[in-house]
Amino acid sequence: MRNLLISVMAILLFILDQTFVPFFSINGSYGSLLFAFFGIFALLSDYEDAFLLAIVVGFLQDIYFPYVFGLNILTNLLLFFVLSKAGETLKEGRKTIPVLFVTLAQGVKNLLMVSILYLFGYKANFSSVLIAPIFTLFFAIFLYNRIIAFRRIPMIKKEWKF
Amino acid sequence: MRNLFGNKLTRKVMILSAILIVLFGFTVYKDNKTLIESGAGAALNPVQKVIYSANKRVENFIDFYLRYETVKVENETLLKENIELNEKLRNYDVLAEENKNLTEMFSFKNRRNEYNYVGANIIGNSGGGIITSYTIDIGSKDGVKRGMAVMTPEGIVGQVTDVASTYALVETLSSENVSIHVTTVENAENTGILVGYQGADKKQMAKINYLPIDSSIKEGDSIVTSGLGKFYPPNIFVGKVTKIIEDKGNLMKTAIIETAVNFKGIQSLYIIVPKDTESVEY
Repeated sequence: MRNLLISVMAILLFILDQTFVPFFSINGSYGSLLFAFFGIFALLSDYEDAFLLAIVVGFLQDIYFPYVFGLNILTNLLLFFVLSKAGETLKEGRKTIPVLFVTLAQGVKNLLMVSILYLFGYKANFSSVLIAPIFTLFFAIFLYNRIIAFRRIPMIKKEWKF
Repeated sequence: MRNLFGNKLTRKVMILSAILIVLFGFTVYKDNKTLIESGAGAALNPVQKVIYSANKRVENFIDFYLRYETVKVENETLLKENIELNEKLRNYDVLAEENKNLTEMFSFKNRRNEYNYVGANIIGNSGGGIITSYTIDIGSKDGVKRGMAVMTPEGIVGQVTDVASTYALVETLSSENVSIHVTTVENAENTGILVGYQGADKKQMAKINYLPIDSSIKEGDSIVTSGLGKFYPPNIFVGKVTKIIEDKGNLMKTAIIETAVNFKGIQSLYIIVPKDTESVEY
């Protein structure tokens, strides 16, 4: 049930990413609500969750991604793990650091993807490496409190097992 | 190090990463999307279509009121142009009749009839801003293949870059991954490969590289598709030459082209599908 709820949330954000966010694009680049939301979610979660989230989010982003399948899953996997690791050391309730971390992660993700596509011989939009994080910064600021609220839904909350 | 590999989760991640890297190799040179992607896309397409077109309508509505004055002036010039065009159309009818008679006399084959024009709607953006690509609502079920040309009544828009059974991904001319063989209306000897290009003010444009230095191409020339290799029908308008850059060292010229279609405003397109796909190598 928990996974189902997370997947539904991911699909909703993904559809918005495909249909709504691009209308605000700057020079063809735009951010991702999906990545911002689940990036922060992963940062506040443990490794197991980060692993699951990376696959769900990455798979959705890969469905409509041209040329290569799996690129989003792989980059999300790496970044969500790093975010989850970074989250271990943070105090809960501080908004600034998670927001900055996820912004940075978006930049790294786009840089990785542009580089890998270049290796395969495809030209990608390099400006997205700088522009997408700006979008993600705003999305993350806007979403942070909502993510905290989402994580407090009884079904989403992970009970500690002793 | 042993601790790192000993962890079950780390092992899972490593195995998954390895699988993904192998998957890259499979998908990157494959023309069609995998079954999983096709299925997932088919389920998401209808929802996307509704939201995308609603957003597009809102955008157009706002755009209209923001540009009200310009739209008014544009309307007046269009009315004048319409009168002139009507005059030209009358002359055209006469010429078309004459042309038809002559074609029949010499039994030329009408090459435009060798293609079907299949209508499609844009239902979303894809590529996450890293690659500027659009999702359209028809796919391999309707005969669409990778490499086919995409157009609007104004001219060529781009190329199909990925195909699933019920949807396809399209990249516009401004992308560097799209290349089309073109020629000029003024002199059919000026041929070259048109590729995407971004202008100084981030304007989406296209360019033709490696034209010989003695080529007669000049500013204001109209660029059309050449129809070479039956890839696209010939004489579909692409745009006009706005600038010629000479590279005397390499004895080459590069032509910068302003495309006829404004990529931002497009919502519906046509895919050019050859009737005889057997003879076309995509």
